[in-house]
Amino acid sequence: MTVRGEGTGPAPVLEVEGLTRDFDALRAVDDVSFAVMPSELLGLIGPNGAGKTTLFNMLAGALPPTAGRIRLQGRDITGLAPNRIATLGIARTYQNLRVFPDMTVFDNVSVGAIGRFGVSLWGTLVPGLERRRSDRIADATIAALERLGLIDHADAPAGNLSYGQKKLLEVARALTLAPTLLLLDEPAAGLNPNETEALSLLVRTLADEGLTILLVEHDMPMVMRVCDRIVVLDSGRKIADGAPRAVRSDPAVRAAYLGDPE
Amino acid sequence: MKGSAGGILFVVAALLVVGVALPLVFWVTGSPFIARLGQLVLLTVVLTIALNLLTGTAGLLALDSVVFLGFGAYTGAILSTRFGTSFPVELLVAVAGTAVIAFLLGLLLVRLHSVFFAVATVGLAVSFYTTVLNWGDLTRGAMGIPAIPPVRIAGYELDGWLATYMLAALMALVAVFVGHRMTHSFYGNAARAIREDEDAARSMGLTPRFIKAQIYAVHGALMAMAGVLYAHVNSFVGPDNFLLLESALILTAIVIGGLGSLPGAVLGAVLVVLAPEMLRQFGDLRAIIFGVILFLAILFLPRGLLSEVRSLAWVRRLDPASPWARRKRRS
Repeated sequence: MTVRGEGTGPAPVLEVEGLTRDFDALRAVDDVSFAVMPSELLGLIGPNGAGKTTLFNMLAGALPPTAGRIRLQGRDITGLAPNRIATLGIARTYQNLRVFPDMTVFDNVSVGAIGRFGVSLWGTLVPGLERRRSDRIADATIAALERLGLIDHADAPAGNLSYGQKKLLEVARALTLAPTLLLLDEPAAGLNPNETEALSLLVRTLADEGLTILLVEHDMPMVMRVCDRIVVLDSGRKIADGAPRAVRSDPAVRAAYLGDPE
Repeated sequence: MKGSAGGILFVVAALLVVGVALPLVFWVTGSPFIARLGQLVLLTVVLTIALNLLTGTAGLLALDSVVFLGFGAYTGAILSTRFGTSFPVELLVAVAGTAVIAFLLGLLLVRLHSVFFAVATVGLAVSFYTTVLNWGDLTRGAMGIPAIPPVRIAGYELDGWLATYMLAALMALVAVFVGHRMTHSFYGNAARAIREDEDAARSMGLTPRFIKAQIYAVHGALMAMAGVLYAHVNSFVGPDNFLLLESALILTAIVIGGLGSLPGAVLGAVLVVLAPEMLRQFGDLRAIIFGVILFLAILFLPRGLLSEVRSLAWVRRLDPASPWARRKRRS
């Protein structure tokens, strides 16, 4: 669904313009602008306290911006509620796992599909009325479980999964929303090298299949390896925006981030 | 296919037991007391299923069940004593009216979370009691409304124990149906997701406030339905029928049965009504024994006798119409 202008190339999926957020006297995000193009895997990095999470939360609707605009496929979504933003096409995962522990893996993943297709009380009460919608939800859930290799665990309580599997569960749940843009909040945090490797591969494959992804990550090698382009934040400001190779050798980035012995 | 046959068999068996076998037993024993007890169990089943949707599935700790039970009871009592209305009219007014009121009230109440919601519902229960006590023109205050006529449907008065038992059974059937559709469906998944992590549910596109207010409304409507029949079979309603303690008893039943579990809600209702009767031989000690049993049950079975997780898995295996059966069909 890319809109092509006259020789201007595809329109961006996400446009962030002058985004700013203050916490009392502290300016956590300061006049940040960037765009995410269709099927692009954009990495967002920066040292601790750079404002990555604040920016992420504004994009997901969890935090209203102090100033600036966010546009999804040309539509202004600034300050909309998280559920509106989700149904408009932005799905997210959480840095600290937010699975529904007492529900099965299948039921967890179905929640994204429920958000996408909706549920109604009447349709639930009257037999047959909701049949097609239920089938769609079930099919989307099964597809996502198969995609992420969780189908064999479908009936297990989500609380019983390993840490890495729970991360995959969150990705599966987000995918059932059939998002225009997938926001991943530090997906590699807490994973062992093997799991990180598998996750990198998955994220890269999803992008290659045409999904637009914004990846906020701490794991530098992973970001450098998988991302098409990288935006670097430092103290709330954007200090670099470019290809991994260019960003790596950027003196401002080296000073702010890479030189910093994390 | 085997699963679907199991589900239908189970439903037919339950209907035969409640609709045929038990009435036969009552008839053979000829004891109106036992029939009344059966009726009370069935009405309590309606209440536990209603509260279980709200507290078990949606995770809202509510102590205002008596308010909606009271709405129904007073609607039935006032309409029938003053206007001689028939039972279906009373039901319609009570259930529809309560659903609307509870939905609007719910939209306000569910802004509150956890213990604050619970405290607000206690406030509601207390103000209901005070209102009923003081609005003498409508409710006759502390004197209550006596001499409520028997249920009247299409000109016939149904005052036999069998008729009212069957009405209670019908109401329990409605409650089980509503509870089943709402618990064992994607709607139920949405409610459970909101209970487990409201923010995460919202970021998946769900609207927690709206869904919680809907469930609050359904909970109120079911309570009101039971209340109408309660007024007629009791032939008297007064403010003391709707004390906070009654809400606590319903809550106890669903905690013992298993929060969020529909079979658990039914079992819980049976236990809290029958156990005190069975302990009657212990005389004055029975309240203490009952209390100790409740305490031990919660201590050793915090998830209840029939836990939510196990009940969901069990029902989905038996229900051919559930979307979960789709996966099995495909694979």
